[in-house]
Formats: sequence, C-alpha cells, structure tokens
Amino acid sequence: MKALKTKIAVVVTLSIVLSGLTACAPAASPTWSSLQVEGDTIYMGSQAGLVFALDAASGAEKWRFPPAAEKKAIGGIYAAPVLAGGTLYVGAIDKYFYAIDVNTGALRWKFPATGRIYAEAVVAGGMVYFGDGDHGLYALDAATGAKKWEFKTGQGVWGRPFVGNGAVYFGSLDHHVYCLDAVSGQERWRHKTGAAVAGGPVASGGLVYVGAFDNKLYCLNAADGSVVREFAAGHWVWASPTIAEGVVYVGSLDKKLYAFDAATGEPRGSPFDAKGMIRAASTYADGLLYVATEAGSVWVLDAGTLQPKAPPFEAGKQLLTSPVVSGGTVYVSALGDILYALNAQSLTQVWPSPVTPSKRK
Amino acid sequence: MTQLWNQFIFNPMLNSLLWLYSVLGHNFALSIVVFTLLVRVVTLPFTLSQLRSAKASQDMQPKLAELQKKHKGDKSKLAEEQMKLYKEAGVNPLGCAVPMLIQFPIWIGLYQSIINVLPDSPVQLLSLARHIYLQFSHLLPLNANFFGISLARPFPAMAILVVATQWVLQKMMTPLATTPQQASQNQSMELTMPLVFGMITLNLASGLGLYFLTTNIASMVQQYFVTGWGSLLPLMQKVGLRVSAAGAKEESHGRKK
Repeated sequence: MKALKTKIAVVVTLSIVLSGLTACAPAASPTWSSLQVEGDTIYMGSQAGLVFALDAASGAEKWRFPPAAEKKAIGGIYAAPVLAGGTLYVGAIDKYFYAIDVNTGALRWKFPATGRIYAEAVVAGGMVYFGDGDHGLYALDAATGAKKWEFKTGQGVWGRPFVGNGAVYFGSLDHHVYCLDAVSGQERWRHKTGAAVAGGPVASGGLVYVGAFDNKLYCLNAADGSVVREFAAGHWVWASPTIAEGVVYVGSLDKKLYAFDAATGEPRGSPFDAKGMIRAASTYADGLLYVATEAGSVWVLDAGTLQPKAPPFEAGKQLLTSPVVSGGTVYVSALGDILYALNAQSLTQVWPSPVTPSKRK
Repeated sequence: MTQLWNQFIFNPMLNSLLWLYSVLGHNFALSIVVFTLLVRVVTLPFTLSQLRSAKASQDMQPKLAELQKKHKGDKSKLAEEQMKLYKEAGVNPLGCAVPMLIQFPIWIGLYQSIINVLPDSPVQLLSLARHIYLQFSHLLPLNANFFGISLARPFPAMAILVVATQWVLQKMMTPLATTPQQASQNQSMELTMPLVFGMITLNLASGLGLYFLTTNIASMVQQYFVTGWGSLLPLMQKVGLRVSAAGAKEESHGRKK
C-alpha cells in the first residue's frame, strides 16, 4: 500500500514538472497563414497543413489540398499561396514546395527543398523563386518543378524574394541582402547588414528597401548594393516595406508605422502608433493603408496623413500577416487559421462570423 | 504575474545567456555549459543544504521506524516524538523542501531561456523579440552547431546521454535499500526519472538536452562529495570497479545505520 502511494506521488510530481516544462517551451506548431485573393476566391494555407480555396463572398470552401477524401495533410504553411498561369504555388514546413491546379486543387508537382519553407514565392519569366528556411534560394521551372539553380546562403531565407530588372533580391538571416541574376543565379552583389534580415525586400526606382533586426530599414542602390540611406526604428524591422504614390511605408516591432518620401528619404509626418507590434507589410489601396498588429488590431489609415479613417477592428488574436484588399473587402488571417472579412472603409465584419477552414470536416 | 516573471527572472536570464554567447566566441554549446554551471554555483548553498538535510533525514530513518512501531495507535504522540527527535538531531523536516522551492524558479528560468533563445520557426523568433534586450539582436540567429548537430532541434544521441547520466544520478541519490519494499520503490524511481527526462530531450531542442546533461554531471559531483555513491556502490563493486575510500565509507556508514 505504501509502495503504491509512493508511486502515485512520483507520477503526480513528474506530471506537474512536465506540465511546467512544457508550458515554458515556445509553441512549435503554430504558423501564421498568409492569404492571396484572386477574383472571387481566397487562397489560404493553414497550420493544419491544408491549402484552401474559399469563396470570397461567404468564406465557403471550394476545395482543399490535399483533398478531404485523402484524410491527410502536408506540413504547416506560413507563406501565402501564389497564383500564376492557373497554378497555385506554396511551400510548407514539411520541406516541400507544391504546385497545385487552381481549378481542381489537384497536385501538379512537388519539389523537395533542403529546409522548411516559410516564405512566399515569386513567379516570373516562367520560373518560380522561393527561399529555403535553412539556407538559400531556389529557382525552379514553374511548369515542371525542375530545378534551374540553387543559391546557398549562410542561414535561412525567411522573406519573399523580389524579382525585377533581370535580378532577384532577397535577404537572409545570415545578415546579408543578396542580388542574383534571375536567369543564371549568379551573384551580382551582396550587402552586409548589422543583423538578420527576415523580411522580404522591395525594389522601386533603382532602389532596394529592406528591413533588418538591427532596427533599420536599408535603402540600397539596386545596381551595386551600396547604401543610399538608412532609416532607424525602435525595434526590429521584420515587415517588408510598401511603396505607393512616392512614399515608403514600413512597420516595426516597436509598434509604429513609418512613412518616408521615396525620392528624398525625408519622414512624412510623425509615425503612427499602432499599439501592437507590426510584423507584416501594410497594404495600400485607393489612398488608404491597412495595418495589422500582433495585438490583434486592424487599422485603416489615410495614406497621406497616417490618421485612422475608422476605429480599429479588434480581432483579439495575433494578426501577423498582411491584410489583403479586394472588391471593397479587407481579408486578414489571425494565428490559428482564423479568417476575417471586413468592410474596407468601416472595418466592420462582412461575414456573420470569422471562418476557420481547417476546423471544418 | 507573467510580466513580473519575465522582467525579473526570464528576461535577465535569457539575456545573460546571450551575453555569455557573445563573450564565449559565439559557441552556444559552451555558453549553455558555462551558464548552467554558473547558476549551479549561485544556488550551491541551497543545494548543499538540501543534500545535507536529505542525508540527515535518511540517517534518522531507523529511529523514525522505531518510533512508528512504538506509537502505532497514537498519532499525536508519534508526531510529538518525531518532532523531538528532529530537534535533538538538529534536523529541520522541511530542510530539504525549502531550498528546492527557492531553486525551482531559477531552474525554470534557466530552462525557459535555453529553449527560447534558439527559435526554430518564425513564430518562435517573434516570441524571442518580446524578451531580447535589443543590444543583443545582432547575435541572432545563434550558432547552434555542436559537433555537426543543431542544438535547436531534437537529437536522439543526446537523449541517450541524458537517460544514462540521469540513471547514474538517481542511483547515487538513492540510499541502499534495507527492505524488499524499499528496493522496489527505489527501482521504480531510478527508472521513471531518466525515462521522463529522456522523453523531454527526445522531443525538444537538444540544447535543452545539453543543459540536462551538464546539470546531471554537476549534480553527480555534488552528490558524491555529500553522500557518496549511494545505490551505485554495489553495482560498481559487482563490475569490479575500485571505489574511493570516501564513497565506500559513506555507504558503509549508511548501511550500518
């Protein structure tokens, strides 16, 4: 009897210790699922390892990949699916990059990468480019999935590459911004930053803008990677910048949204206090700027003054991806695969309730 | 509560670990070992007090058993006599638990620091952003390479090492059994603890396994100097290992009692 009591005590103590230790560990499985909206369809990955095509008007499911009948899933998905030429491209943390038929949801091909894939892909010139979460960048034939070239970096590439003017620009956690020839993968230049670069660059007017974990937004010469200007924030700049109407907008984990004149680099008024970390790029549409925060707010700002146009929408969940604006509606997904549809002017909910496609059978 | 914990325990510990990493040649394995040992040095007075109390309680077991036999039907008398015995021996019955309770938050903070400083996904990296002192941001991502394995990911060999050292430690911590019932209890404890820690190591970052491994080895050294080889002694003699006078003396002392 005494031995039994001791065993029970041991099991209870260990359970308490284990629960404590498990609670301290950062959650490994959650992903932030980014969105893509094309026409009347929303394309969305999920932490459950499923890709969904949803009706933009109602949130109803059109198809899912892998199909429900197969009762299986791929790895969790961070990246927004990218639509090009009737194919949807998306990478997952199971280290595979998938090409899916956009009409049927059937698999066209899949490509094994070295590491987990966190970043959104870019399709250009018949090629698809995406970052490898462990190290490097891949360029594949968009039609067949055959590897065209691969470029190794010292650490992972977690941001979306930018393709333009025959070049691919991307940042790496190895503290560098790279520029490669888009066709051959040959390096043109690299620029050393003061810390990791987790977000994707954006190029415009011969300049490349990219944020880093040294709290800076770098403005580099697209031709040779030399520094043209630097902007300082109060915390990491993880979000990709948004460039519209000659203004560069960028959010930081210091909870502020900054605006700079693209031509001169001069600040455009005071930064906007979003009251929550800004992890993802803001979205510009029709003179308005949409900002999602880790504190769970969606803001709609006047792009000229950075003043709110309506009270913020409070999701109550972490919003770590960019809002997508289409047809007068703003779509935004929260951690946990929860999808909201909001009126683009008032930020009131369009659907009766948010949709969590991965919880539907 | 969470804010207080983060501000006074977790954040300072996490950033101390990052500081060590910056001064130890960006070697994260070495940083974990040094960090763990430093924390052990700081908590050494508590640990020694805990070990000594545990040993004193063990030494008193035969006398306590006698009292239990003598005052079988009288609980209040038994409690009174037990307290008297503790007082005479200069042993605090809670002497073992109090130092452990004081150390517990420190160990949890240490564990939390190691597991959070090696983010393996964007969500984990964002979590780290909430706790890092910004002057250490340039250190990220840490070089988690340890003899070709990534300390950010699970590694089975690390789990095996943790199980082996935890088993040896449990053996050392367990006094020699005097009854078959006690032997059975000891055996279940000696197996359960290593398996639990092995399972944790197998499922989480192997950097945590390195922390367990360092802790186990440091505990073994401390245990040896305070209580000797414990239940490991007969096993060592069985396989023909020569045992130092200190270890053997402690054990023979324990057995005579």
